[in-house]
Amino acid sequence: MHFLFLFLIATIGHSFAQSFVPETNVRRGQARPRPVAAPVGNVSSANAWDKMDAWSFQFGSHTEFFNNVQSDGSGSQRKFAFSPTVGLGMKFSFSPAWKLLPEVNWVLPWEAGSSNMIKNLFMLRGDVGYEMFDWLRLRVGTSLMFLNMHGKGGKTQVSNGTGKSTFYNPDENRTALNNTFDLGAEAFFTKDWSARLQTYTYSLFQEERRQVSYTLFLTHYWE
Amino acid sequence: MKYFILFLFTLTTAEAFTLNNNFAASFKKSKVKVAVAGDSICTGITAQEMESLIAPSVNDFWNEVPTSRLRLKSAGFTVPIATVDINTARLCSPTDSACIASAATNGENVLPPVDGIVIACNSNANNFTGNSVLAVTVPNNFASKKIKGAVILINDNANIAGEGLRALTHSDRIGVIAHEIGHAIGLGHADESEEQALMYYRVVDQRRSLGQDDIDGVTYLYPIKIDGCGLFDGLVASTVAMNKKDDSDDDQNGGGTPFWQMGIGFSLLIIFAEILKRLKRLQTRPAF
Repeated sequence: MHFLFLFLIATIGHSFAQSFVPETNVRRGQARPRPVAAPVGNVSSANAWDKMDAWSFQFGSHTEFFNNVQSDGSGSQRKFAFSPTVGLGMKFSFSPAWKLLPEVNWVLPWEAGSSNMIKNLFMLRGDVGYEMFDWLRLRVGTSLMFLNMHGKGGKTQVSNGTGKSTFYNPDENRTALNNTFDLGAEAFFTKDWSARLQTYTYSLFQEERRQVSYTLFLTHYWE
Repeated sequence: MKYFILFLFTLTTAEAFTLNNNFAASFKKSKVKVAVAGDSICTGITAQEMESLIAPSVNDFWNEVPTSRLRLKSAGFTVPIATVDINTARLCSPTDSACIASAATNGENVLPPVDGIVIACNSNANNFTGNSVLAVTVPNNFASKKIKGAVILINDNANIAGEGLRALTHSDRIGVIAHEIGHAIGLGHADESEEQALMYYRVVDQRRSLGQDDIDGVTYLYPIKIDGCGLFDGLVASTVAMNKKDDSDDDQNGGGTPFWQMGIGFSLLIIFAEILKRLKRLQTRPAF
């Protein structure tokens, strides 16, 4: 829990510190505009869509519930799972340092157990991004996670210790909806490409159920 | 592009959970109590020891899944089940290895319907398909597709192989109880290749948390939102659930937590937006 607040405090603190520094900061080779003319109160008059200056396409791998899913019979916990993920996002620049970054991601469906179950995870997300350095953007935001499971029905014979028993495969379509608190760090290695670690904290205020999932993204931006 | 997508599909994982029955029965309530039968007597395990296994069995496993609305709670001891001797009665048909409680057609006793999940030791070998079976679960109180109660019978037969539950380590006992609770809430065994799953049919070397199968299974049976994908359905349902102060009649939408958290999330966004605005003002002030 503490690291979340440290992250927030560090981000806000850094932001305020930056705001008193002379405007010599550059972002990927572009000088920040000199803020001499705009009077107070005029800054939010433009249409928000005018602030949209880039699209993004991202792909990567999603890992559900980091270090809290057993991965073998000896008690090992899963650190990484390969679950292909794709997404589309937008970038709204409200200031040189602060961005609004909505996006939609889709963890591609994977079939579970003899093709009897298909899972889809859709993320409807929104981040506020802070350009800490030329090459580093920090993100804080929230997601709606739609976890859909579609069963195909049927039955199967599974061991019960002394023989086989009949058990049944799910046959309905069900969706779980979660809201998460998200933190991310995005490193740019060119102007248009970045690598991102995006975390999603479930049940932030319920210690017993708190889980952290993450996605490793490669993101491409274009205007 | 399509070959890339096909490639990704070939790399995806294969996992499986099953259900105890063919109609995806689950508890209607989000909060389900787990208790030891008040008149249960276990060889080599005191009633207090048995009761102490419940909390870690639910808190370290089933209650950890944030995508599930299910909240299991240790409830101590039930009142004694007076109409049948829970310790010795034959409660399951030997012809059905899943131990479906039925009318007394094969010499079984009819266990009175219980509420929630009740754990008891039982020494009647007819309830178990073999001497190596540690426990069985009897879902004995149904209404339509809803489970109201289930009984977990720990094999306390004198001839049980390896002395049964009492010979296991504390953590293995917790694993066994958690596994049986999995049956009680509606899950069947995981695929035989999935020994990482709690619902795997055997005790494994070390059990520390649920496997992906278990998480998927409990999420499927107890999704934290109603079926479908309507945002406002979920919002309304969550609001209703939040307004219920007791745990007596939660419906499938239960919890209410996601939208409460969403409110916090959006509040944070508003705070950040305000910070952004103030920063902008600072930056746009004329220099002295």
